[in-house]
Amino acid sequence: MQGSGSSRTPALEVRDLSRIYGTGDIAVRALRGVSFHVASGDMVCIMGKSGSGKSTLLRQLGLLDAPSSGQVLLDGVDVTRLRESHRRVLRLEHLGYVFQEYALLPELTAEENVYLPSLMSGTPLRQARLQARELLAMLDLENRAGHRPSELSGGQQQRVAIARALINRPAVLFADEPTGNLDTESSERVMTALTRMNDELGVTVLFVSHDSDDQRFAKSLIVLRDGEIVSDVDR
Amino acid sequence: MTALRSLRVAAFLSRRAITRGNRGIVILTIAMMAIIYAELMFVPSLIQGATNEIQQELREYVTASIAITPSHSVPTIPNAATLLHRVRSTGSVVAATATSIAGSEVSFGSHTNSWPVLAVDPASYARTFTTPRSMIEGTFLDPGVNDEIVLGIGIAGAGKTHASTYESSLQNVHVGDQVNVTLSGGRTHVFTVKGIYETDLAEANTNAFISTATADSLVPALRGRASAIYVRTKQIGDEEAVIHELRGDGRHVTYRSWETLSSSVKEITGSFDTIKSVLNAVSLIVAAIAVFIVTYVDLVNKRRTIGIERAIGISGRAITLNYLLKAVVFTFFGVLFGAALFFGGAIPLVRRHPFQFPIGPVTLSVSSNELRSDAVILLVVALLGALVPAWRAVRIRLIDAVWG
Repeated sequence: MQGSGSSRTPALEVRDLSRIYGTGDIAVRALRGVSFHVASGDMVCIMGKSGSGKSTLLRQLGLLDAPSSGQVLLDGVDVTRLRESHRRVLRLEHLGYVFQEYALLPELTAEENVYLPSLMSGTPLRQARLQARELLAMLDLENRAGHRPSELSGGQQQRVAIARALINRPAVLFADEPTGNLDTESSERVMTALTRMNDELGVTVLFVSHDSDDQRFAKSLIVLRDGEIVSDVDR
Repeated sequence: MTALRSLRVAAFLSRRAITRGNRGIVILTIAMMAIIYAELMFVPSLIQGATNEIQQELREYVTASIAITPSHSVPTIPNAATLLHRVRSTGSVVAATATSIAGSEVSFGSHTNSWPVLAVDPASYARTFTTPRSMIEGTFLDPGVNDEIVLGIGIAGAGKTHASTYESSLQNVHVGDQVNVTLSGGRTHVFTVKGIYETDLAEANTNAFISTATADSLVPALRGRASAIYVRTKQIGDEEAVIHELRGDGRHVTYRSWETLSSSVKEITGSFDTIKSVLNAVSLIVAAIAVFIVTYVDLVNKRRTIGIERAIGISGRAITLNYLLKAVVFTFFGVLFGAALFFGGAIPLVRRHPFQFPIGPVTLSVSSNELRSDAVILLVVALLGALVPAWRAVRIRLIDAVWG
């Protein structure tokens, strides 16, 4: 994963990344000079206790928040200081993000939720719908395409969210505790789905988990404690 | 290109939000827009109805369609009969009548006051004006030489103590009573009241009428002359064409259409316009606030949803447009239902039960221009009401929108 001497092309590189919330006496240092890089096609699990900075790190990488200092490089390009309009385009076309609470749009069906980013990218509706159907089929949800989120189980919603994150064929997929709200069986299906996407589509995956059992799905592991990396291992 | 994509996504999102979102909110918002639109139309149409009524009464009782008066250099129109004949033979003219001022003072018992006593040809006057059909006592004049006079209620009083003109009138004159009239030249003559009329227009109720034949016999100087000739055209709008045709004669007279002559009521209608503008502004502010609140509440409820949309790459422009499109849809259906409410409910209801104004019964009158401009103004206001909160919502920090 992250040894600086790795021969694989880094899809993502993080240099001395810090994130401080608040100022003065109430300042909280959520990330403290984190550095690592992730090779293309890797599947990385970021672990750590609650409050260790896992989700904060993922938000910086997913361009949902801006770091206080340091750099995030995607394919060698520093994206930390980009304007929001450019960050949005990167989120739309090069990155995928799966939230812990599924975060589907309640007024759209599963299929519509999946192809919405594709429409935003300018894909014709028919083609976007076809791509969404294919992804839903890969995730065993083809018979749930017309259902609204309220009609789906937590595990199904999370797989729909994964399909949505993948619709524009991103280079990197981020998943923030994707199994955090799921029972064991659903968690297994979601993690299997992420692994399949990594294997079959070649998407680089970084997922956050506090469940040590999820380590087995990862090729690499980063352990955070108090905003610092205490361990990173290629498996 | 990006703008088109944003519009496409906005249309996609707004359509689903409207058809699959909270129906109660959608229905209530459209109902609110419908009521505001109907209310926007109501006051102007009532004012327009009142203005139309005043103008119609002026045409019916005072000005007809066109008034021909002497030029400034002479007090009366000479050879009035010739001009009258010429007028009557002009296309679009339905009727015309000549009037002369035969007297200026009427007295009854101890009461006396100055009012115009007009010499008219009863038959042609009745074709040109509707005053002869507004009799509340007796009948209008007979043609020929006689001692008959017809008085307006503003002169006769007729015992109507509650009338605003009662105090200045002769107070208790009725049909059959005899009144003294001071004629042009100073001579007085006793006339028997043949009839008393009352119109809805107060300023039309202070005339007295005697027949032209009678006036000619009593004041020979008036013979062949007229103070004015009034013309009724086939329909409103014909006036300028008729005036243009008559002007070709080169006579030293002044032609004025009822619109020019109704300048006295322009102050009243001007005040109406001011009231209309104020009420419209209030309605539009209410509309803007209502749409703002609906959009704001929706946005507060959907703050995280909007954050998610932005997180997955939906542009702020698409999200804002989504809310603007919803405002357009709400306004469109609001205008549609508002117009249905107005034309299907308010107008027929007021036609059956008109508002009773001092000028008479007033119904609602609305122009298509007013309909269009109200709809456009409402749309602009709704767009502004939606734009402000939506624009602010997409500027919240992404991290606050999703996790705040």
